[in-house]
Amino acid sequence: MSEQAHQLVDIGASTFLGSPYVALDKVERGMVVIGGAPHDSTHTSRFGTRMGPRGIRDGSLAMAQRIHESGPDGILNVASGDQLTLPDTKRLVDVGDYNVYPSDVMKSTEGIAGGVEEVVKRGGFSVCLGGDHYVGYPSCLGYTRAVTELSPRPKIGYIHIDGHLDFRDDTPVWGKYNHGTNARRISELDLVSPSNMVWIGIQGWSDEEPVSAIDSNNGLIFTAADVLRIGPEEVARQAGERASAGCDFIYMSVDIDFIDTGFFPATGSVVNDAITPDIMATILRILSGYPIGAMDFVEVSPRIDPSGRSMIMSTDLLLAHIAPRIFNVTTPS
Amino acid sequence: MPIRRGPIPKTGGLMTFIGAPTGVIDELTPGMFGVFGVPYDVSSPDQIGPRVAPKAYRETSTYFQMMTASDATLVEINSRLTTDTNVVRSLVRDLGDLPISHVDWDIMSSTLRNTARDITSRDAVPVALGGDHFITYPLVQGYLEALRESDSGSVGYIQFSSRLDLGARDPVWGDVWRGATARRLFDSETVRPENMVFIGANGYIPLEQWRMAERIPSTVITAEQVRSRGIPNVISEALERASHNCSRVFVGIDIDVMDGGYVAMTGTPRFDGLRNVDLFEAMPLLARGPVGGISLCGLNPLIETMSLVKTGQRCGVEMLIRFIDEKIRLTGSYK
Repeated sequence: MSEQAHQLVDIGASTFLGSPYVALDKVERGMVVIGGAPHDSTHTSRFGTRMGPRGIRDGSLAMAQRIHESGPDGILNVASGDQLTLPDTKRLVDVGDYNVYPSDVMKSTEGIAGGVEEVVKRGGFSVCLGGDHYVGYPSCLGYTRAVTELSPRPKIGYIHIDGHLDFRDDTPVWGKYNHGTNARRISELDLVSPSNMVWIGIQGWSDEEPVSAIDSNNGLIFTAADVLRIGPEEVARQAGERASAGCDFIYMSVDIDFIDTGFFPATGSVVNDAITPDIMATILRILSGYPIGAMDFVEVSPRIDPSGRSMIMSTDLLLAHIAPRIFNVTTPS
Repeated sequence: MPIRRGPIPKTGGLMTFIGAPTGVIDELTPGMFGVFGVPYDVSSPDQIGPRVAPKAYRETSTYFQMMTASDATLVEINSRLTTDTNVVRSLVRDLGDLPISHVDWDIMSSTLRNTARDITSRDAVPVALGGDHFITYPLVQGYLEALRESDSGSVGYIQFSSRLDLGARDPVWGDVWRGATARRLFDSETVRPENMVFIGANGYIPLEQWRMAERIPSTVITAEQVRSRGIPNVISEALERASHNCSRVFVGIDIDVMDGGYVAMTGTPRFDGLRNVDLFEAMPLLARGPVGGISLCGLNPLIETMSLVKTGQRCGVEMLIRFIDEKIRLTGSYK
C-alpha cells in the first residue's frame, strides 16, 4: 500500500488496494503479485472483460481507504474474528498489465504466460486478473513453466470455480483457444494431473463430450446444486483434498460467474444458480489452506454493472483468499 | 441460421427462441411447441416495458442456441440426463409475435384466445412469451375452447405470482387490469375455483382477495410455505388439485414470483420471493403433469441496470427450456 497513509487513496494511480506498482524484476519471494490480462477477444458472446483489471483495481480503492484509516490495530474480519494488520514489509504489489494482442491469440497467450512465469520464478504468488476466462490457460501455462524450477518434476492439481466447465475441445466458430476451452487446454499441460482437476459450481447444460472426457479422466465435478446441498465448507475441503492428493501444487482458476448474476451483475455470461458472493468467499477462504501456487480471477465486465458493486465485491472475494498472505493475521484464542 | 452453410457465433443469425426454426400454426403437429410473443402491456398499471420482453427473451435465448443445434447431445449437469438437439429442433417452432391492439381489448383478447385455441387444437403446446400477466386470461379461455372440442373440457390453472390477481376492478384501469387475471378466469367460469392454485404469494395481499381465495375455495401456497415444504411437495399438491376432474392444466407464470434479488426486472419486485433455482426445479415436475400450455409474463427489460445484465430473461428462458425438455423426454423421443 501507499506510503501516504493519510491521503485519499482513490486518487492517483489505480493499483489493487493501492499497493505499490513495481516492475516485474522487482518482484521478491513471498510477494502476492497482481497482474492484469485485459484480454477479451476470445469471449464468445459479450465483450467487455478487457476492462476487468482496471475495474477491479478501481473497485479495490474503497477497501484500501478503509485499511489506511484503520490505524495500527488494523481491520477486523467480523465473521471470523481475525485481526488483520499490515506487516512492516510490503507483501502485496501490482505489476500492471501483461502484454496482450487482441488480433493474435497465440501472441497474447505468450504475453500473459511470460508475465506469470516471471512472477512465479521470482517466488511471487501470481494473481492474474482477467480478461475473459481464456486468460486462465496462459496464466496456468506460465505457472507450469516456472514451477519446474521449484521442484524437479512437480505434479499440479487444478481447481476450477465457475458456472461452466470450459472443457470443450474445439468450437466451430472460435476454434480451440477461447473462454470455453481453457480448462481443456490446461488438462493437456504436461505437469497437470487430469484426475486432480476439480470443478466447483457448474450449472445448466453442457455438450456431452466434455462431461464424458472429465469422467474418463476421473476429474471431479461439484455442481452449483451440490454446493447448495452439501455446503460450501465441505465442498471446498473435498475439492482441496482431491486437487492436492499426490500433487505438489494447485493452480486455481476463479470465474466470477460462479455467483448468481443477480448478486454479481458485471459479467457477460448470465448465470442463475442461487450462489451468493458469501458462498464464493467461504470457498476461497477455505482453499487458502491448501497449496495453491497461483490463481486467476476472471470474467469481470465492469460496464455491465454501472452501480460498481461487482467490482467492489471483487476485492472482498480476492481478500478471502489472499488475506493470510498479505496481512499479519491474529486469530482470537 | 447462416446465409451460407457454415458456423456462426451464437450472437449471430436470426433471432428466434433458442434458435428454433420459424413456423406457422398450421404446420404444428401433435407434441410440438408453438412459441409466440405477446408484446402487450397496457393492462399493467406499473411501468410500461413488458411489451419488449418477447424480444428480450429471444435475444438472450441465443445463448441456448445449442438446444436446437444439429446433431448434438447435451448433458444437464445435475441430473446427467441427455438431450438430443435434433429432436428439440424438430419439435419447437417460433411463431413470431401476435398482432397487437393496445387500444381495443376485444380485438386483443380475441387474438390471444384464437391463438391458444388453434395451437392446442393441433395437440401442440402453446408457449406464450408475455407481455403483461393479463394476457393469460384469454389464453386460458382459448385453451379451454380447444379442449371442449375434444373432451369434457375442464381446465385447471396454476399461477406463479407474488400476488393472487383476484381483484375485481381497478378504479383507473377498469376491467382490463393485470391485478384481475385470475378473477376474470373465476368470474367467466373458465376455471372452477377448486382447480385454481396460487403459488408464491408473499408480502402484502389485499385482504379481500385473500379471503376470496379461501372462500371460493382455491388453493394458496405462499412463498414461505414453498420454502418450508419444498418444491416437489408443493408441485405435487398443485397438480393434484388443479387437475382434479380436469383433463389439462394451464400454467401462468408472473416473473415477480421470484425474489427481487434474483430478478429485479419487474414493475412489482418483491423481496421475500422464490429463488430462481426453485422455479428451475418446478418446471420438469410440471411437465410430468397434465400441463399443456404455459405463459411467461411480467418481465420488464427496461427497468434498472438489470436490463443490461439480463438476469430476468435468462431465467425465463431457462425455465421454459426445462419445461420443454422434460415434456419431450416423457414422449420417449430422446433415444
